[in-house]
Amino acid sequence: MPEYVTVRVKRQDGLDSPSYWETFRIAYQPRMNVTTCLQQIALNPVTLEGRKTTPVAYDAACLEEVCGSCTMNINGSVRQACSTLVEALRKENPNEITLEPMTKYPVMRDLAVDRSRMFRDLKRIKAWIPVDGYYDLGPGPRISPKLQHQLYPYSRCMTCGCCTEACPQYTKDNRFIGAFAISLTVLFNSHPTGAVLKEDRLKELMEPGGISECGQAQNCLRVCPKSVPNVTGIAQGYRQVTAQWFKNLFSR
Amino acid sequence: MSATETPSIPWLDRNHFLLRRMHSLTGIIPVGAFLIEHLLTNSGSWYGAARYNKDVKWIQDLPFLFVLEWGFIFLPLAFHAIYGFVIALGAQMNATSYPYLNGWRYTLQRITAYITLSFLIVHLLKFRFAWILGGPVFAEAADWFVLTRQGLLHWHVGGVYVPAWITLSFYVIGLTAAVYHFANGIWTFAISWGVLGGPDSQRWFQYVCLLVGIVMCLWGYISLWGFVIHG
Ligand code: FES
Repeated sequence: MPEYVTVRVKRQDGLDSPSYWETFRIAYQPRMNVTTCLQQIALNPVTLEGRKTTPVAYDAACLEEVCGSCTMNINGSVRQACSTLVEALRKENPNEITLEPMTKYPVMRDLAVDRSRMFRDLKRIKAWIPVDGYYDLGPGPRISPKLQHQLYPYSRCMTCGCCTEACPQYTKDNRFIGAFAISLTVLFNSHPTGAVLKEDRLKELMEPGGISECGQAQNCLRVCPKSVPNVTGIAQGYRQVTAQWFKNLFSR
Repeated sequence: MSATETPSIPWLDRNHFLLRRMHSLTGIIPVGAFLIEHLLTNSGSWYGAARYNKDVKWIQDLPFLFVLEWGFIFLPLAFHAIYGFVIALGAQMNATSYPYLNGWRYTLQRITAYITLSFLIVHLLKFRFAWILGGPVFAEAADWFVLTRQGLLHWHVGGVYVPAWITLSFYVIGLTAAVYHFANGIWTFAISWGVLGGPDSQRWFQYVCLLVGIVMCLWGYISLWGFVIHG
């Protein structure tokens, strides 16, 4: 059992400030995760060299891998700080843990990034089921257990952004909506009530930044912590878009 | 609202999806289809000069050859290359951080695109627009087989003699890159046109594409070898 954990953090004081590295050494506790490490640093923000510094800023909310807010690059690959155990990281690199903010979003401070682009894109594809009304709409349509079974995996998406971070086609300067948004398009298009907005959603998928931005690198499937079937989502998205495209071509 | 308030959407954006579809389609038809035709004609070299020249003559005698060549090969190829280049420039390759098979396949698709394009430019300037890079031998119109063989084994460019092994290696690399780009392109084409609806169909179809790629590579090597063995 190690006595200490060495954590190297890529820090940044504000939106447009330059980044710099700081290293911390904290006491090892059994079963600790990366968020615990950051909490320990906050308790005593002193670097390895003994210099007093500010606590490292980071996001966290649920602490059980369901909100996605603590997503960051840990040892160079994107995942959640709250569910990544130090013990597991020691197998990757026994000497130190590197923490870096996500690279596809503006860094607000240290490890906290602004992922509002994802939220804007969810609005863009109308990632909801339109049931708002001022009167009782009655019971919704029945959904077969088979369909429920097919759709449930998509609904696990927590908009953490791992798929966008690992995607070579999703960059800071383009408009790609990313795998999560395409998978969610398929989810809401497949819901009997959600299908009301199907054409609007497919229209968005055909716009710049839409599905044709995908380059089939399929990293989105490999890195998704919630095992969302992104490859199926994108394949089905392509199928729906192709059908819609031919329909648009020939039905007017 | 006056008309001036309507934001003007750039032409490229307005036709975004159509252009992406055309980029995907031109890779298969006509560019990929031409690659197959080209290998078919060239593999005649395996049977010697007489057979090869007969087939080339048949092509040279096609009606409206100019239109066929520019409309079905050069223009679609140029569009596929230029638009593809623009797409590729917008990406951030990361296969070293996420070393998964599909990530590598994606990266290779782009690398082979650059190799194929460089190869094709030299190949065209050497044989199709031979007065540019083909060397003096092309000045005298003669036997096509002999010309091609000269170009592969005794290539002089700008007074420099290129050893046969360099030219041949260049052709093997260019051909392999083009075939990879085409075979993997069939796979991505089938996904982006909605034919392969999920990972299972993608898995078995990748073996079909692999087989197509291997067969086409061997086919191309045989064609090259035909020019070496028939002196
Ligand atoms: S804090 Fe919610 S996923 Fe980590």
